[in-house]
Amino acid sequence: MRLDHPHKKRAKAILSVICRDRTSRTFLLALVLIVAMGSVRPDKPQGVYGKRYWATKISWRDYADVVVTGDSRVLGGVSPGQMQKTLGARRVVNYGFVNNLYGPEYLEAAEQVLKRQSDMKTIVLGITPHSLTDDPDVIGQFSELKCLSKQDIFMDIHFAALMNFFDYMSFRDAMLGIFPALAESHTRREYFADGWLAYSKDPPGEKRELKKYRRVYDRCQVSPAVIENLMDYVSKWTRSGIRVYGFLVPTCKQMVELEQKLSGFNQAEFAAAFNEAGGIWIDIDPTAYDSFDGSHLQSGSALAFSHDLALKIYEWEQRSENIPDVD
Amino acid sequence: MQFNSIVFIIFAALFFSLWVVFRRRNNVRWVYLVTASFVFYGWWDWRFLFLIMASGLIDFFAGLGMERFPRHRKLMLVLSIVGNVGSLAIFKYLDFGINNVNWILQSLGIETHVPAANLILPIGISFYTFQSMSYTIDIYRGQLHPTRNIFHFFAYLSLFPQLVAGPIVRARDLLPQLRSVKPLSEQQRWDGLKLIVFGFFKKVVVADTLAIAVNTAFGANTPTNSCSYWWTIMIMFAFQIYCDFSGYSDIARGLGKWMGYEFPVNFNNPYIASSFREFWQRWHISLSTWFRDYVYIPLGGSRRGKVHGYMAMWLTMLLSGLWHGAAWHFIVWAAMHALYLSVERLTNWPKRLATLPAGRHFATLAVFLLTVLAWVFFRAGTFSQATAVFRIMLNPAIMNYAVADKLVDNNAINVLLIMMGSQLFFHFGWDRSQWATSTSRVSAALESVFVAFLILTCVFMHAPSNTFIYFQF
Repeated sequence: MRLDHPHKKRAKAILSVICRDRTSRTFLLALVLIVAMGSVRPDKPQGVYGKRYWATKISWRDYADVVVTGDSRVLGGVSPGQMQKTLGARRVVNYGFVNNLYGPEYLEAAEQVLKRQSDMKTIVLGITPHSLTDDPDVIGQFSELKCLSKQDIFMDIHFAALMNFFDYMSFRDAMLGIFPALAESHTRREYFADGWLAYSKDPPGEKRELKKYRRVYDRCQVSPAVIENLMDYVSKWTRSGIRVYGFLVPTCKQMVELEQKLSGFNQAEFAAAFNEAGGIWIDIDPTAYDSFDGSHLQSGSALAFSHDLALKIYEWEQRSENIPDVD
Repeated sequence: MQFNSIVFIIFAALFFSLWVVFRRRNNVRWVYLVTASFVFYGWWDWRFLFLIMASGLIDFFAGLGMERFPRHRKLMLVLSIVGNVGSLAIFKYLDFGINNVNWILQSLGIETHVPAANLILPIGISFYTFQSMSYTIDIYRGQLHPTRNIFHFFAYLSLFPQLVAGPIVRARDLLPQLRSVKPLSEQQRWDGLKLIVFGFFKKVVVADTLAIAVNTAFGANTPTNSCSYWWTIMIMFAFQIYCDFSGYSDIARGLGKWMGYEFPVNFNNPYIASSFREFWQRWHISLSTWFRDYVYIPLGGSRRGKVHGYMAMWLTMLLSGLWHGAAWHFIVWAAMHALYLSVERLTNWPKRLATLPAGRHFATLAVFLLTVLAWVFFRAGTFSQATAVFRIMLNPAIMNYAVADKLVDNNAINVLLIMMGSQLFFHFGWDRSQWATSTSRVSAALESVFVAFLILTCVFMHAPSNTFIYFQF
């Protein structure tokens, strides 16, 4: 007891300084508020930390046998884990990004993700009409992540818990965190190390994305130059031994109709050009799965779709008899 | 190293932990200040430390030379000015000059093309060269004794809080402060904290949020064809640049207070000015007074008659525009302000308007809107983009309200409304009201809670990080 006495005295002195000093008191109050606010964040994402997920994903090089590419519909709609169950001992990754356009920089980066030594190199291109535009108003997430400094990537990977705790929270988020009953719906996000970002919304929301896409196609249409460049890559890849598949990413019926009408995308022409360039076009019913916002698939539908996609690829491979059977 | 980075927060925590120990030890303090400041500056690119050292050494020895050889004072001054202006000319204005020479040659039909130098602009060069020049000019004028200790000089020149974006501090104000060691009072600590927190709030919450909308607008290949849209965007930019720059100054002043030093106030609610003269007394005060003391007054100011006064004012303003950036659109921005000031001097319209009922409010609004109009030339990437936006803003026939969708989707409008509300708070003098100035325990407690909430906002509601705009100058 006596031994502790000087320490207690010192602690008391420090505490009294903190209590008397306005600056320290304010810091202390801010600290309490920060911890409280960080803890009440609504709809906290599950799985891998978001910051670590993106920093790792943008750093992938020489990493996978099968790369699935595309925009946010691919990001949320294709589960590599589910595909792997059908495709066997191949590492499959989802290389989708939000607002992603098929520009040369992205296509080069996707090729870099393939393992150099792999004898089953495959690129699966998830096509949406918007990803074939050159929308000037869009700075895609891929381009933004590419601009991250080495220091940012290091922090996001190694201090992910801390960086996530301090992640941006809007005023609305803060209010919903404090009063969860106010939320009309809950969005669940789960980050997977294989690149999939699973979304589910309970209850599923209105088809809000339709309005947004109507505006998007008012300002831009599918670009022939982007398609031509994509086809150049498809023929370059197939010539170098990479197997290239393409498919139209599923969404809701209204979105399919809207995009057929406004985007300038013609699936039949695109599929023909794709096959001509050496790729393999996979026909999938684009309206057979559930979307929660009019554009992106619910996680359950994404799993079902990923299974169907992998099965179609597998069947094609069986037909061409190049790949051995899976156990 | 940027204030709004984790690296800086670690740096500041380390610096202030050791500062408590070193500030009382006379020689160690100077070495510590210079070392810390060089680490801060060298974090961007260590090679530019040689430039700041070379520029500083010229002025340090020029100052000593003026005292030692009084008959050659002028020569020493010329040496100092040539050194500083020379480094500015090479790093900042060389490519601008080359581009103009190429344009003239092309206009004359001569097919020679001078290649651009493409040098990297050292961060904060315009600030520290001006600070360094004021040191030698003050010695030349007999207003300052040169310091004999090189660490004293470099502590003044490179003091990290204000090194890269001001406020531009005069040696006669800062050197005596650096020499004295007073215990830090609780009030100083509190004032420092408030300034730092307000500064961060202005930068990471307000300026960076507004930057998203402004950058999208100016990043589009063709400007959106709507007068109302561009007025909204430009008002956003007016607050973005104000909060970005004054936020930096506030943080610098707050850090200075924690070190025990006072830096001059750099911004005093410029958008509530009711005349352009008043605007320039409230905007970037340390630069405005620098130009007044070292350019405008030496040119004769308004003492040599009206015409000469106008010429001095125009030249000072144009040089100030050129100081901001080596491009014609900065010069046009400065020329617009010179024109505003000229019209104001000629007609004295703000004072006349102020005599009418609510006239002062109209004058403030007019000054603000004209300032917003001039910002177009400051923000635009190119001269042609500036003129295109300018034309749209001046054509009220193009009122496309549909594009409002572009703005409603983001937080920028909320932030803009908060900033406009705060300006009205100052404009109507509510900051001087009894409840705002009360020193009661309740008021103090409420103020602490307010500052704690601002810290919370900075931590969670900050927009994606952007470099401070004035770093490019």
